[in-house]
Amino acid sequence: MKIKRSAWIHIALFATMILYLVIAPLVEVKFFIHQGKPIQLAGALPEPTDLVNHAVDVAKEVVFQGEKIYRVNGWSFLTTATDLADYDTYLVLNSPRRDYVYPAAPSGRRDIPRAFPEVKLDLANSGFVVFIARDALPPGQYRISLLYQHKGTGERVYQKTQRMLVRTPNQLLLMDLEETP
Amino acid sequence: MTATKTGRLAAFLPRLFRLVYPLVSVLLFGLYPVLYFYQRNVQLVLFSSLARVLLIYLLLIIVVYLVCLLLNRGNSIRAANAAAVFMLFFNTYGILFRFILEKDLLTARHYTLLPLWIFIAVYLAWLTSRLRPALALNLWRAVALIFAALAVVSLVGIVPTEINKAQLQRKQYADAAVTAPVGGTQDPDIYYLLFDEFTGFKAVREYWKIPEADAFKTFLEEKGFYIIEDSHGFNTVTLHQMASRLNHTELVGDDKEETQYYELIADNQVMSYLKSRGYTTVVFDEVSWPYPAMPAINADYLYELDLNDNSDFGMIFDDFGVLIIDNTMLFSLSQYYQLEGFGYRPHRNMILSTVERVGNMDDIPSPKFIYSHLMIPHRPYLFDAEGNPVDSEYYRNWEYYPGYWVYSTGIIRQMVENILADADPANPPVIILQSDHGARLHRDPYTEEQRTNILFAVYLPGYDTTSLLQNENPVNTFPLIFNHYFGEDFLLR
Repeated sequence: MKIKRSAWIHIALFATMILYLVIAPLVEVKFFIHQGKPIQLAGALPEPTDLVNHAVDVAKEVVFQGEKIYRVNGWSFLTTATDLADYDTYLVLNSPRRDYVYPAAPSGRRDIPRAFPEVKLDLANSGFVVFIARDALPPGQYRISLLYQHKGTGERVYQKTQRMLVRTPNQLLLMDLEETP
Repeated sequence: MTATKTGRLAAFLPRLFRLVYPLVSVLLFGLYPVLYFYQRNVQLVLFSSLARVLLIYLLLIIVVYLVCLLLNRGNSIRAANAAAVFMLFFNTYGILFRFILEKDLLTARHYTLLPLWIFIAVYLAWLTSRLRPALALNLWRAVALIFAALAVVSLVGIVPTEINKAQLQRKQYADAAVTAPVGGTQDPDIYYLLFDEFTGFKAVREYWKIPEADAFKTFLEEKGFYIIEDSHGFNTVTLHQMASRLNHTELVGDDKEETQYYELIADNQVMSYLKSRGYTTVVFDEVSWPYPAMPAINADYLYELDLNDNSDFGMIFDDFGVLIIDNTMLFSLSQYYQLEGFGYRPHRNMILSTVERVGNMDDIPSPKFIYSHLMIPHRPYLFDAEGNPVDSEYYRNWEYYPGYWVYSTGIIRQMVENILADADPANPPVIILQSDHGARLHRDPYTEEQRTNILFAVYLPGYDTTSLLQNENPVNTFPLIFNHYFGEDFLLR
């Protein structure tokens, strides 16, 4: 009887440990990660177009406001736009199960206006920065897409890129679509 | 009364001894990693670094032992065995964490892995304390014996090197006698500027693909430099490289025996020769930072990193301490003991003061030889390409190397601009920009060729640079200069 009771204590201790291991990551995402979480965007994504000139340059782990997150840098511009400031830009990560949407903040790119001298649009702020919390994204492969939404009319333009993010247990890797990790 | 006191003491001392002597096995077991790593780095690290880590470990082991003693109701052998088991887990957590992180098969997070590791440690410590007394005593004896033997082996490796290090530190070097200089005061000032781990242009293009590299090359060429793009050191060992170049000989030796190069750098042939020609020698030395056991270079003016230039709180652990602690459970607190901003203040100040001073040396009589060895873009990668501070989390992350490489080009530009602005147009200086080795990145497909590809750019007024090879051996640096400017006939390799 005594042996049985002692065995139950051991089982309970191990069960508690396993429970902690399962719950702790969920608690972390829910309460301790504040930056780089995906947002909910009302409405469905439109059909993909090829109206967005773009490149996704780099994904790098950084410390931002005290949290370790990934910073994705690139540039893009909507060829049919008259002013890029009229649009909100989003980076969308596509997976077979669901799409994750992240707001993209504009950033300065002096090289882009030089690279596209024929484009009449002001491309000085055609760069973008997106913060993605690795732990708030389930492991898997995600094709990167870009979404432009007009601030006034709500019109959306959506384009898939040839780049993907691969979330491994400990990393977020930026790759070309044909590459495998 | 006195007899009663003596009687109590006589009863107390054996009991105290029974409680304390089992601690020996825990100390030997727990401290062994510190001794092991010190033995492996004894030529590079000062004894004071070891003493600091030993003190911290000693306190920790005593606390762990006392807790185990309390939980085992004063049974000292059981407590010692349990404490040893806990120390085993304590000393291996960081290794396990980095292994999981590197293999990337499981998620490695401190908030899950550390509690799990502590749980297993405590559980096994508890199981160990349940062993039968005879078995527990045998286990204790085995641990004490094995680790006493290992400690002796370590000490045998440490003591002779410590004696050698102390002798080197005390050694005084005699200056070379000045002979009549052939060129009189027209001998040019010579600047030998070394940038540690600065990858050469070829490897930068092939692997790192740093776009700013071309602009940097153009800057140097516009200033009149000749770039030797495909130059390689024969290995990636700083002391071996510097000892070879400063003595213009490809030294044959064991890369692991660092002390053999200390003296060859401290009292080198290049500076000896230049002193004999009446040169004033000025050294800006940061190599003594990673190699604190290296004796001071024999120069007329020596500027070294001032480690006391830490007006904040100083550092809990130095590099050796971090090497040890990174393997332990304390690795989970690395963000607190990493050498952040203030910890690297002396390094930062050394860079800035060298840039300022190298181009402003009118108070030092010419001809002068200036040898500067700065630890940039060597880790820690303190700044990004724009000069913004990098978070200490990434000081050792290779992804931040390209940004620091670009930052370092800015430092080089400033130095070159300052030197040329301050130079006498009638007697322009010789400037050599070089690195000891390239990035020592060990990652496929980074090749040995890329690791050894160095920065090698020369400003040689009046020299026909078309005679230089694109794969010039850096050991020839000074023979090439001495042969041309002083009419010598040093052997070229």
